[in-house]
Amino acid sequence: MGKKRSRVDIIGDMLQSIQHKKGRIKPTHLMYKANLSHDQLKGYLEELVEKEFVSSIETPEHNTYILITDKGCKFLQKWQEMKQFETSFGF
Amino acid sequence: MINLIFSPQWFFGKDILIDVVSILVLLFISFFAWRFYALNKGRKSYALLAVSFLLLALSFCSKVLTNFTLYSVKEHKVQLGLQTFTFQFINYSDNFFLFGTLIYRLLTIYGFYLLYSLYYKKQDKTMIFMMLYFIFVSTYFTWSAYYLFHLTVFFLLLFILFKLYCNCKMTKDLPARWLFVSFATIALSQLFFMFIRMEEELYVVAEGVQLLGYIILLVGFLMVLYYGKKKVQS
Repeated sequence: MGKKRSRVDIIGDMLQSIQHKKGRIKPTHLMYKANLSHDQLKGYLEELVEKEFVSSIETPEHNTYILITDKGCKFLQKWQEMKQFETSFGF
Repeated sequence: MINLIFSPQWFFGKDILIDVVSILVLLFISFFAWRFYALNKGRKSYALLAVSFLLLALSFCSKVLTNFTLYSVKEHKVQLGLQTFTFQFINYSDNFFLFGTLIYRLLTIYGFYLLYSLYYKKQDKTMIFMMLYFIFVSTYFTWSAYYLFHLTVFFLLLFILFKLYCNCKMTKDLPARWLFVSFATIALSQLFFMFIRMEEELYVVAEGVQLLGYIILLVGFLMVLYYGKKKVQS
C-alpha cells in the first residue's frame, strides 16, 4: 500500500495535472487525474483560487476550464524540487 | 601529552580552506532542506536532515576556529654575531584546542547519528536519548584513542550508505547515485583519518578525499535541483 498523500502533495498533483494539459484543464478531468472525489476537488480548488495558484474561465460554449497561474507554476517548481530531493535521498 | 597536530607543516591553513568548502556545501543543503520543510511541515524528515547538516557544518566551524588559533604561526628573528636567522614556530593553547576538538567530534557524531536515525526510523524514543548520552560519553574517551572517533563516523556512514545503495537500486535515479558516491567518498576519508598517526601525509590525503566527497555531494545536490526543475519544464 502506498503512502498517504499529504495536503501539499495533493496540491502538487493537481497543479502538475494542469501543467501536463498545457496549463488548462476541465474540472472533471482534474478530478480523475488527481485522484480526488468531487467534494475534495471543490475544497482544494477553493484553496488554490484563494492562494492564486489557479484561476477559472468560462468559454462561450459554457465550458469551465481551470488555468494555472505564474504563482502556481512557481509553487509547482518548488514542489518538484522537493519530490526529487525525497527520491534522491530515499526518504 | 596528547598530540594536537596531525597535519604536516606545509599543509597548515590549507586544511582550513578545505573545511570552509565543506561548511558552505553543508549549509547550502541544510538551507534547502529547511525550505522544503517550510513548504511541507508534515514531513519531519526534511527538518531532521536540515538539522543534521547544520550540526555537521557547525562541527566544521568548530574545527576551523580551533585550527585557525592553532596555526597562528609566529615569526622570530635571532641575531647570532653578524648573521640574522629567521624561524617560525606554532603557537597554540592546549585547553582551547582540546575543547574545540571535543565540540567538533561531538557535533560530527551527532550530525551523522541524526542522519542515520532518519534512515532507521524504528527506534524507541528513549533509546535515542540513551544513544545521545552514550555518544557524549564515548566522544570524551576519544582523547586517548582518536581513531575511535573516525571509526564511529565510518560505521554510521556505512549504515547510511547501505540505505542509499538500496535507494539507488530501487529508483535508478542519477542524483541518488551521486549522493551515494559522495557519502562513500566521505566514508573513505574517515578510513584515511584513522591512520594519520602512522604517516603525516595521510592527513593530506584524508582531507583531499573529504573535499572530493563534499564536492560530489554538492554536484549531486545541484543535480537534485536541476532534475526537479526539468520535470516541471517537460
